[in-house]
Amino acid sequence: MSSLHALSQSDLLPRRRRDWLFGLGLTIVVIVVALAIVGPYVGPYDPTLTTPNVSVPPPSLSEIPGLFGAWISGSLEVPPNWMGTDASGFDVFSRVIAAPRTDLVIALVANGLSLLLGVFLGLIAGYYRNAATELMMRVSDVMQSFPVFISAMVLVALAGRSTSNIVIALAFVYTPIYVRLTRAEVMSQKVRGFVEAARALGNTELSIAIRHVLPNSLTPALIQASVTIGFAILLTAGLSFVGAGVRPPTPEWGLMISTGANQIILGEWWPSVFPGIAISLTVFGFAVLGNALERRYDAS
Amino acid sequence: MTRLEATALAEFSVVEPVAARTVLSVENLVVGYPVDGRMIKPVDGLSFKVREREVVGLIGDAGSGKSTAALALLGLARAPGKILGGRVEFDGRDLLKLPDPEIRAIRGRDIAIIVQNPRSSLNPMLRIGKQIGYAYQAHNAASGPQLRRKAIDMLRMVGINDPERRADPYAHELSGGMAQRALIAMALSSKPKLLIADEPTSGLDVTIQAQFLDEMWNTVQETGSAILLITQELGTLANYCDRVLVLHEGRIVEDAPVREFFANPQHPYSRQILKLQRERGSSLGLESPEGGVKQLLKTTDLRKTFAVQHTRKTIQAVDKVSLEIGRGETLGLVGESGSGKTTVGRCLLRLLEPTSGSIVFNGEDLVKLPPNDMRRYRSKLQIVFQDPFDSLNPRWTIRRILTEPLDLHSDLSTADKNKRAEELIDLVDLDRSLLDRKPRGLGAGALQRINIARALACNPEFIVLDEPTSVLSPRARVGLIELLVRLQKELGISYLFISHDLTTVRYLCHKVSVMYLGQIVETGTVEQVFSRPRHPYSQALLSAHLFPDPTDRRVDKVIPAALEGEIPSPIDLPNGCYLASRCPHVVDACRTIPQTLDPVGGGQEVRCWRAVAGDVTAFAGGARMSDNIDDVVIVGAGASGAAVAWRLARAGLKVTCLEQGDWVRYDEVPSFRTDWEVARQTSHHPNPNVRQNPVDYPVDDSEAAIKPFLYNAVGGSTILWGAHFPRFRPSDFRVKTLDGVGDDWPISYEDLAPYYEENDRMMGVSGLAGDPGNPPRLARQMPPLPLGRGGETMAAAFDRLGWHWWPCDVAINSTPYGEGRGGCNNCGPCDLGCPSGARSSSDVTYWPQAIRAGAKLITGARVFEIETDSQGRATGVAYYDRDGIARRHRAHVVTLAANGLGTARLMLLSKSKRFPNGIANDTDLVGRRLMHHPTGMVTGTFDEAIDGYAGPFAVSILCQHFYETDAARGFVRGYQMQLVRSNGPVGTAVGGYLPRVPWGERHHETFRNTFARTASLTVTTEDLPRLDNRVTLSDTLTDRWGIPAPKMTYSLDQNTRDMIEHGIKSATRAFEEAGATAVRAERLVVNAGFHLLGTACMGSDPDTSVVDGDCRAHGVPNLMIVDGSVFTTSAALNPTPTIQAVALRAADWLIAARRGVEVAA
Repeated sequence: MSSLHALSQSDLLPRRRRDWLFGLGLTIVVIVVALAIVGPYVGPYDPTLTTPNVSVPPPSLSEIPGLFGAWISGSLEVPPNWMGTDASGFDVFSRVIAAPRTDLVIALVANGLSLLLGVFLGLIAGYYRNAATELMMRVSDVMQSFPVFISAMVLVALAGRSTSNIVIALAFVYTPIYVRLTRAEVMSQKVRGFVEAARALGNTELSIAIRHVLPNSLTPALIQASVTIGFAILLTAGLSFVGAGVRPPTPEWGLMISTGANQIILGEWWPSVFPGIAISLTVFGFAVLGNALERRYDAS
Repeated sequence: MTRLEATALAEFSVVEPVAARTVLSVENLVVGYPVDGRMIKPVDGLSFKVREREVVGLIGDAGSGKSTAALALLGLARAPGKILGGRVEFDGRDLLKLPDPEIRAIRGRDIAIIVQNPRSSLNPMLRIGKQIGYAYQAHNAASGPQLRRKAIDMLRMVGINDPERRADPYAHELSGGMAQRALIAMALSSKPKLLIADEPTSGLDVTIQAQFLDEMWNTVQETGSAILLITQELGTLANYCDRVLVLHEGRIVEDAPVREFFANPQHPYSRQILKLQRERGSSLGLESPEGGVKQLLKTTDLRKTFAVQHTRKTIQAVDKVSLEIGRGETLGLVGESGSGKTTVGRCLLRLLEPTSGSIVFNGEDLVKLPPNDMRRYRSKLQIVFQDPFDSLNPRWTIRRILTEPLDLHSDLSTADKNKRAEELIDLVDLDRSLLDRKPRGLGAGALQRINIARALACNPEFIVLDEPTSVLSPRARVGLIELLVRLQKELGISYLFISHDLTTVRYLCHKVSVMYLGQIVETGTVEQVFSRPRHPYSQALLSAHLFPDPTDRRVDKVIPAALEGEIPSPIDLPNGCYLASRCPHVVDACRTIPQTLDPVGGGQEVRCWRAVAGDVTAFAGGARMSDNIDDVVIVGAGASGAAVAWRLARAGLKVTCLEQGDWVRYDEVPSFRTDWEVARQTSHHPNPNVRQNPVDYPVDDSEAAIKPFLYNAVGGSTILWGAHFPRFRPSDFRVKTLDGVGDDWPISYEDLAPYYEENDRMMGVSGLAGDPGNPPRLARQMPPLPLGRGGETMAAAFDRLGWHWWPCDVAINSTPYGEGRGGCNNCGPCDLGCPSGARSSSDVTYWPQAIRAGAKLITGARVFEIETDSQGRATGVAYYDRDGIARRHRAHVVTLAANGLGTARLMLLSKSKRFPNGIANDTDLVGRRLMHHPTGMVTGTFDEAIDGYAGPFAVSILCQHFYETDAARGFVRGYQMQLVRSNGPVGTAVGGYLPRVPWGERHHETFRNTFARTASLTVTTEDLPRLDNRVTLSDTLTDRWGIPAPKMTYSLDQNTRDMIEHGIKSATRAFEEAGATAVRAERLVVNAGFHLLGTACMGSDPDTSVVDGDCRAHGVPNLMIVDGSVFTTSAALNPTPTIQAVALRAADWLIAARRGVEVAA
């Protein structure tokens, strides 16, 4: 039975559909990461400097090919504003591709911190169950009972608007998720046969926890991380949108949407819509990748 | 062979066996799954057949395609699999070609399926009754109340008590066993022709597993379905299946009857899985290592309690367990789940900290060791877990897994560790290439070997094996057991083998301890515990276990009632015995006396004070004979049983006769001994209460005016008889019509006449045809025996008085007759065994011929119940064999021939739901109307010797002058007088038919005046049937197997007393006429209960009789009673020829009606 079971689960699911989604997610994530590395340098304009041309609309679809040809041939004096410029004269395109540097770094660092902390605390809470670890879980309950956005906003408001503070705030609000996930997995892994076998072989508890239980308990947290990065980007942008994030003129999607939003009423949609699309695609990319990873690991 | 016999046989041979119809025929079935663009075929060319009413077992390893095949039989395949080809012919139609609606109609209605884990197959949202109703409704037009009624009927059929109430709960409210029965009820609600059961018991506890399969088997026997039983268990195959199919790599590689499969498997795969059975045979356990064993590990009063959350209560998981394991020895620890056996294993290694007690290993108490020292010790004590998939770190390579213990306990270099890993992998017979793989993708068998290799890494002295074989496929299991035995032999390791699989325990262990609710209830060698379990729980566990032995099938045996209820909660255990609430042997004291583990000899210890006191009867398995169901089973091998067995066997019927006694060995009979007259008063006394042989059952005769005479042996009471062989007179069958008393028989003298003749020929009768007082008959086989001087004297007197007399027909050879039987030499001690074989008893007349004709005779078999199905048809009988082991014998027709006492007892014992008062006893007539022949005896003493001691014990002449009713005499019906000879010298001295010869000075004179000078006339009266004279079951008295003894209640009425008085006067008159000098009379011979008649009387009206004229029980179409029980009235003479004639006639009816007899399914 078991082999048949394994067969149907791992090999008999429609493989093509899963791979297509995985590929799409992966592509988006790779692009975003690449932009985080080179984005600020490859844009046609400096993302932090204004130009005199304010509120230039993006070229219409029919103009794009001609404009593109002219740009390639070097017949243009200044590069075209592919996504127009905002009310301050910033080139929207340059800022959209420069923003991942800010957004992704904040999300990644915050995520990495919370993952490390969360897994460590989760391992302890799951492996040693006592009053102290129970207290820890109750504290994390309290933390989780506030909406993530509110907690982060309050933390930043208290600590001051700096990138490091935002990172810390994000790490703080995401840690309980990893604690909980890891703890649950540790609790189910620590009663497995190989753990008991390790104990029977004479391993110390610490060595069992680190060598046997931890490696087998990481999967859910890691899968969660890829999903969380997307949401962390969203959260960073959200904080900026409400004015609790990075300061202008740092290129950042949330900030761009926030400043662009004032112009929408005048019909200038482009300063906020393009960063909005960028956020959506990025979050979607990470979510799809996370799902694909989760399914792959579930099957094993 | 005479011409007559040849014709007869030709007639009988038209009864040919009906060939079983094929229900399902599978040809070349192929099921495939697309994988990476190509097809893998788990079922590839499957072909087999299932016949009507057949239980076919399908066995194969995991992944051999069993479940895929089961679904494909219904035209189904799990997506994305497809049935690629072949035929599944069911009822003449190819299911694979049927349009969807038609095949849906067949699924569930004609082919039902029970899948793995019955419990989870019930819908938790629906009441049980509703679910069954819906299952029925899917294929039958019914609604509302009708459905509910149907559901209740189904629940009743699967043996659920109080089905009206049980239809209401939801699935989770039912116990496991109940849920399973409900599921069977559902599957069988439409009486499918085929039931597919796909490992229906996987994951169930042993006891419940057996109950489930029993239930399924029994129900299917009733509905007549065929079963395809898919299993991985040899025990299930052996005990329930008729035929075995072996599935290997998608094909049937072997198809054999179950016995043949086990005895002589053909395919290498079959041989592999049966290897242990074949090599070890029935030997129990392993030989202990030579030179005795040195103790390695000993626990004393080990306890482990767990706190129950949110209460102050504790669970007693392990309760004062003391174990001892020697070096190189295996101790088996068995018990159901929840018994605490796994906890014991964990405590031994301190994977769980014991609450108290000590574990002394190599002289050191492990419990007292600080954790660090304990860790060091771990290299010497290892454990192998149940689930191989779970017990290896999935992220590590096998190499890393195997070297981990070396990292912990040795200072070896990396190269040495790798070398050791290679050694280990060799040791467990795995390929070295596995070392760099991870556990994922390996089979359970390989993984378990790696587990063992890891345990062995640091050369441990002791390994706990916690159910290491339970998840393995049959082949892997065999391999692992062999490996464990080999490793023990090579490395001298000790094992604690924890398992619920008793078959494996039997192969692997030296000693075994049985656990129940945290306690050890029995401990001993494997031989002791398996062949003579003492504790009721051990007995129940063993009787529930399915041993893979098709010669001792569970379905052929009577299984002692399973323990009642389910395991109680281990919280708040009682003071007394933990088993008290479920134990069949419980007495009040058990509930209060704390039980201790006490020795019962040979090192065996039992935690049951009643078992220690010897009050718990043993149960053990054993071999049984019959392959399949007999046509007829006969209970009793006496006069009638022998006749019926011969007649039926000669007609080609499959007949078995069960007899509680043994064959008489004629080289050992008392006739050869000088104390033969003493034997008649002791070991061969006709009263079983005096004789008290082991094969006898006692009779409560405290309220009986006449004491019972009978004998238990092949030949029955004919062993001790006088062989008087008169026939009933035609008037005896019509007493009601003639005299207004008693009842008329439904048959007449004429009906029996041919059978009288046939029986005379079989038995051999000496006598003289032509008695004017009786209907004519053929010439007797032999001339009459000499009348003797006494006979001649009395005959002359009768002549002078003008009274009727005639030489009595006697079944004693006057000249040689029959097979190896000589003529009478007049020696006298006939009843103690005839040295020349002249006296006919049915063991020397009928039985040799019956056995030659194919009848089977099982001696030492005390039948205690006639088993019936729910329709009240007999299905066979249950009996205790010579060793007190309960067994079951199935037959289409049950025939009782155990005499008026034994038959009535057995019928009264056979209570069931359908027959609460005993089988065929709805009228309360069974046991009633008991008739004897109340006898007076008149002895005349003559002046001269008339040599009464010489000549056979039998009657010489009989006088039927007073046989018919004469109103002038003041009583109805009549009597006959029979002249019997006198006693031998000892008999004369102790009284003979007279008061005893006085001791003292007149002794010799009296003896001389009596010995050889007396003759006696018996006055044998007709007893009229009365309801108050009866056989019942004794409340207090039981036989040696604990079966209630029969009790006789009997008194005489005035008519009989008047008759005897009249007879005494007549006999006295005859003696005076003959010239006797002294005549003395005994008014009622108390020791004369030799004719036990009427307790299951024959009649045409079912309200006033038990059997019809053909001896068939009213209300039980396939139960026949053929002994003296069926006599409607008693007549006034010896009944044996009539008993046998009635029996032969009944046998002929059965032969003629053979195809028409309604038998149990």
